Amino acid sequence: MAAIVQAQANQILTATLAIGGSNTVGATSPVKVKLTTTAPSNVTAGTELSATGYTAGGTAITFATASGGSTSGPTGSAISWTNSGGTAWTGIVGLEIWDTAGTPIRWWYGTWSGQPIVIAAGNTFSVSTSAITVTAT
Amino acid sequence: MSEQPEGDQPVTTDNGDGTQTVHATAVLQAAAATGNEEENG
Repeated sequence: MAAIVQAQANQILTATLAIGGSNTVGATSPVKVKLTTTAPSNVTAGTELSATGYTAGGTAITFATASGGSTSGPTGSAISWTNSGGTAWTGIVGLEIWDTAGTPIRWWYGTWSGQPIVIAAGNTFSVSTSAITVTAT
Repeated sequence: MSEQPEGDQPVTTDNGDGTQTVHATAVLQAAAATGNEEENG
């Protein structure tokens, strides 16, 4: 059974999500969340959403202090993108957490609950505070 | 790291101006404790 010592799990979360700012090892702060239209995997990035109103490259996100092998983000306020184009975003499937190194590194991936998510023209895709949970145990 | 259950739908709210906001959630799990991993060796 896969398992990890809780204290080390917290260290991994802190490093790979740049919790609390920059780290000497791990992810380069800030990290960003990207939306994808295909499901990412552990070896292959998803296809990033390309649409009017979405910021290519993603949006900076911060995560709370890791505790119990888990953390959540965004902290502070929601992250959102509004479909300002004339056609629907037909399928938001996944998300990825990338850092902002000179050559950005993809650290985490997953899919949204209830995906694929359709965002009609004029509507907003929002990630509320703590809506993304990251667990390492 | 795991995918989400398909039945867990995001919440949609009306903005009062004819538009809506979809509130998405996700769980990224590094390791699933299934107890079925293959042993190396």
